[in-house]
Amino acid sequence: MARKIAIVEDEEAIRENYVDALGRYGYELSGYASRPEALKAFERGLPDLVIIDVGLGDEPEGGFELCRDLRSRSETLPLIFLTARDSDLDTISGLRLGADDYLTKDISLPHLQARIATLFRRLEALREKAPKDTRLERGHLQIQPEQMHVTWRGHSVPLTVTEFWMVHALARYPGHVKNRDQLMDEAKVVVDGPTITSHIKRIRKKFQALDSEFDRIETVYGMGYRWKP
Amino acid sequence: MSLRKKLLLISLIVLVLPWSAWQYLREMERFLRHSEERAALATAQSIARSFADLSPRLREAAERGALYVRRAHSPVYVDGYDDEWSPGVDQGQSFPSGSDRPVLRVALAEDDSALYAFIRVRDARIVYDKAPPGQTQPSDHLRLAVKTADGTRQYRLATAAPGWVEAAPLLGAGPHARIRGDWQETAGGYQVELRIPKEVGATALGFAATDVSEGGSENRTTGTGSADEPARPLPLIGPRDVSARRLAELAPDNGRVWLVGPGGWVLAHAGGLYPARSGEEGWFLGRWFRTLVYRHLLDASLSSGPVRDADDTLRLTGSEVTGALAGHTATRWQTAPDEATVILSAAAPITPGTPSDGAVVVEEASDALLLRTNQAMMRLLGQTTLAFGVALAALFVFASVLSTRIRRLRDAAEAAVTEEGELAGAFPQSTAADELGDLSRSFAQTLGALRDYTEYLKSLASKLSHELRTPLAVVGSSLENLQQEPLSENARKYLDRARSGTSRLSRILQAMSEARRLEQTLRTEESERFDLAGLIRACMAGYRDIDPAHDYTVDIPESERPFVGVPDVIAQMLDKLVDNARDFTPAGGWIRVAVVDAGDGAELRVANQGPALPTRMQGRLFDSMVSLRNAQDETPHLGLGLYIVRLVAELHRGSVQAEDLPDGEGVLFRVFLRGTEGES
Repeated sequence: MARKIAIVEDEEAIRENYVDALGRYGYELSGYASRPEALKAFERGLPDLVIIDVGLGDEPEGGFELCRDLRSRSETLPLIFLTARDSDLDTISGLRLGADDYLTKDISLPHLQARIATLFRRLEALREKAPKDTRLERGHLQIQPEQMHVTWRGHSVPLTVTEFWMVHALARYPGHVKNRDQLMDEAKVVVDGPTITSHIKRIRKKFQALDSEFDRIETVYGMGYRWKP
Repeated sequence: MSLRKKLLLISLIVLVLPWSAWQYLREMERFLRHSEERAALATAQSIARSFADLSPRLREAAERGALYVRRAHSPVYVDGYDDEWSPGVDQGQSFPSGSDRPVLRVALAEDDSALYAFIRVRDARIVYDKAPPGQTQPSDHLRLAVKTADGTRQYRLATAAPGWVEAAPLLGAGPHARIRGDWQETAGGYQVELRIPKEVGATALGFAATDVSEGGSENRTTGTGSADEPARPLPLIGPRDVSARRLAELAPDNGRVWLVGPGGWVLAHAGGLYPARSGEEGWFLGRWFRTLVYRHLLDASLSSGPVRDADDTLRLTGSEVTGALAGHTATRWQTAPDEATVILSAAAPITPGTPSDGAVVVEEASDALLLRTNQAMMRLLGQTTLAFGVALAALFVFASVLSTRIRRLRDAAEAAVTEEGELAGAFPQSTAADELGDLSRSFAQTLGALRDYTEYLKSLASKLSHELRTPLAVVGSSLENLQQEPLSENARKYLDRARSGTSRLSRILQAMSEARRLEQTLRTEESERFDLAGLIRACMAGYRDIDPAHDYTVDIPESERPFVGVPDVIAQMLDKLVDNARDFTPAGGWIRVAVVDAGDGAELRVANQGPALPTRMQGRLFDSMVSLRNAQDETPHLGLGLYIVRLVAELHRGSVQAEDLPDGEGVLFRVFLRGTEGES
């Protein structure tokens, strides 16, 4: 059965383009232009994944509201935020709305599709009664790649898809330095240096929220980052 | 010329006021002096008129000459010495008159019982009369002529030795009276003190001294008379002629009056010079001020001299006395030795018009500053000066305040715009309600408006980038969709070009927002301690690796350089600097990076070989959106790189500047970093 993806985006051209583009991957797409419109549709039934545009026309907070609403209805529903401004990423992250990823609109379609696929895969892995144990352990860090689940000292670390891929890339080979280009590849984004720095910073903050002594992610100036063994 | 100097110049004009006040004071003083003179002269004249009866007698004395007889105040001891004569005999008359080495000096005094005569003779060698009694021989001797009502009798005075003498009568009629005295030797000759009893009734006296030489060959006679009649008697004048009481009655309350005969000999005097009229002592700081004012303000062109002593003055000299004796009135001002008092001397002849015989001299002492005695005048003067001073001070204070306000406004205006042309801080507004306040407020308004506009312009870039993203997203997503459709070869070609165009656009927008993102980052980032040298070294290693086309020289000390700041943005800044250097350095050229300690921070130096900085842009290099690249470059350049460098430097309380290398080889960028708050 085809997965249902809902796109909430007020700019018609963009919405339609996304609908067409993602449709080619075999998903069933529905597009909504405003929050009320989307909510009305969701009352009848939730989709399998929702992509939300941050700035929804008249309501500047519309996207956030919608996200909160959906989260309250389903813990596991994959939610992806889209925004035109990458400066919003920090803001959104700070709000801890529980979305699974925050992306800028200039992300390429293949990259977007990769995320969507991963999220669906995770969904399946979570539903499985007996999850495959492909656990990765690095000191206090535990990664379950299928479920995209990361724990530090036993506590769950809420990472977005992008962040998860970065942590996975670093922790897979502790001590190896991954430069920016490599991290971008792994995270399936195309961004500039400062944005990578922001991502790493956010990741650090999330770990530090659980453990103030966390210093496993090391900046190697002039080269990149690495996971301290 | 500054406002203050102009103000001072103009206020100099105000000095006209005190100057004219001064002139006025001088005129007043002169006027008062003149009035005093007239008053004194009037007094003198009226007194003189009442003594007109003396005139004949005095005239005779003037024509014929006279001998002055003083009143003896203390008993006279006829001992040949003049100690009890006060003033001394040298104040007496000398003969020949006018000579500076007189042969004969004669002083006469009288009391109730007798006339006393003191004769001092200059004689180099005294030849005594050693003849036996009854005979005479040539010797130094005195001839005395006494005129009485009966006639004139001559006497001869000689002695064998100093001591007691008696006048030996010679020919002539008249009663024989015993005229005795004492003869004493002196350093230059001899002196004789004689007592002539009142019974003799002398009305005129004459003296002559004969000097003989040893052997009696030569002799010279000098006398009070003329050459042919040396011992001719002269009439006697003196206080005997005038009743002192008569003068006292006529004397004014303040001051002294003298009645003088020919030659200025004092016939009588009355009254006293002190106490002088003076005002209250406390006014105007007293004596000190008076002297000061008097000396500097008014004509201090008066002579100074001793004040005449009442008892000791036998003879009055002075220009006014001479003038009065010549027949006209005269006055003279004199400063007393204490300088705070002046003495006015007014003299009037007894018989005006004719060169006379006697004069009345009125002396008055008064305050040097006559004005002072006029209380009302002084009070007015004081008040005027005070008012003037207050007005001047008020004017000056106001003008000072005004000029200070203007200067403050000027300083604020200068400080409002920094060297780079940026608006610095808030402009201090004045709350005053006058024109200066208005000026200040309109300044503040203008600057505020300017600042708002500048802020708007600055944020234009990021606003623009924000606005453009959505349409760019539309284009981007449409093109992606298009990519998936079957397309002809041409179509694909156009699609590729379109996609490359949009990706360029996207990078431009990214660059545009980079500065804003950096500003945000800088606001929120926390500083930490790190090794600055280590960081730069590590980054440089990276740059070297990826850019073999250029020759990198890294001059960083091996030791740690502790620093407080945000390491990520420092790396970002270095990135931009090296990026910039790389773009402007020709292939094979050198790039030098160094870190040195400077002042209370560190200096990062990035120099590269290449063209010099464009002169036009010197002040604007580190502003956003200033680009120095040429058009051929593929990569988008919005000139934000150096702006970011500046932001980072400023975050670390430092600065950045660019300069051409001295030999014209290239360009050097110097970033001074002090470190964020804390210690560096």
